[in-house]
Amino acid sequence: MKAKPVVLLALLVGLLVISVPLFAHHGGVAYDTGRRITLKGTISNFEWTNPHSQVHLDVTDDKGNVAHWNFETQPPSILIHAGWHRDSLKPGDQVTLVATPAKNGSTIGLLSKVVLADGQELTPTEK
Amino acid sequence: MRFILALLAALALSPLVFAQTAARPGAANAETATPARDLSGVWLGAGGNPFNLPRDAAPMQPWAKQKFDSEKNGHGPNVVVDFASNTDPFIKSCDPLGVPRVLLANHPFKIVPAGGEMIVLYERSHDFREIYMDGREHPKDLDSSWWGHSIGKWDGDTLVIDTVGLNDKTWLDYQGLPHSDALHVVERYRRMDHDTLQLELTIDDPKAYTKSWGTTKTYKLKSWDIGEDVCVAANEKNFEQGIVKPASSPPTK
Repeated sequence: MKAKPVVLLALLVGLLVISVPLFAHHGGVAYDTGRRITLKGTISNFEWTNPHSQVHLDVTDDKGNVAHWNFETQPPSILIHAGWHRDSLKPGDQVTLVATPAKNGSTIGLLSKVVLADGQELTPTEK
Repeated sequence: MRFILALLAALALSPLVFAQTAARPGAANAETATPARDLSGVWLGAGGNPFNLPRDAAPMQPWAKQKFDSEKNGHGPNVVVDFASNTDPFIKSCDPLGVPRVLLANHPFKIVPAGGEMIVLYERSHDFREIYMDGREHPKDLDSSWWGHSIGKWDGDTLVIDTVGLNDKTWLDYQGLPHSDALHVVERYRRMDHDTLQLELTIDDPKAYTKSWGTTKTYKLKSWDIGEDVCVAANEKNFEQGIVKPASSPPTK
């Protein structure tokens, strides 16, 4: 029980950390800022474009069903300062992706991090 | 004893010697000195993306309050996700951001001194402003426009930019603060240190607000080129189809 305030503080800090990248110019109100999901899958498309780049990910469950996810992230003008390149993600790449999911339960999310097969991590924040 | 006193004096004076060295143009550490009256370079808003001006800095005139209360977007009091009900002119039709909203974007801008004027190139929307520095006044009979007419002058080491002639189609910020065509914007830029630029912004619009008001914002120097972040209808449509529509449809569970 003693750990409760610490846990609450950790959750609060976590929420603040998560909320910062959500402040895109279209607003981050579609996303459930208190949640994060981690998915393993295969890149099906990477749209390197304005106003927001999009990362398409196919996720296969235990029964072999494939869910098509799409993740919003920053445009090229911002991602290049975070170490990204137009070829950073290619169809067929196996990745682990961390995101804030949409509130409505759709397979849409706001990208927090992509971990490539070789362990390289890509985030949308300036390096 | 005399040696100790001399040593103490040398130590006490050493910061002055260092300061003189640091300020000398062309010295090895000159790049950390603060250039006077030189704001050239690429600057990016610091400390995240404020996007919004203070909402309650000044009471709005009744029509302005009514307009603000009717706006819907991703950053104001009436939050919407979908594009169809979003009233932001930048989101709806890629309208220019204008002044002062462009100053709040999370994209860098480049200040280029050019003889009798200063040119500011904005990565956001790939727009630009010309700030006339040759002592001219604002024209007497201005057509209103998206970017208005800007004249600048130095007040000590502070660059003062005075802008009028703005149309009433833009928002002041991302939450939808309104303004009229009587908007008068004063930007006061001062280089606090080599890498830090501070803006004191004053909004004067008696048709929309009961008094003039303002805020401050800080920018950081970047060793970047500015990129191309244009608003294109086809790209917005693609984003709406790929992200906004599925994320704003009724819950699936």
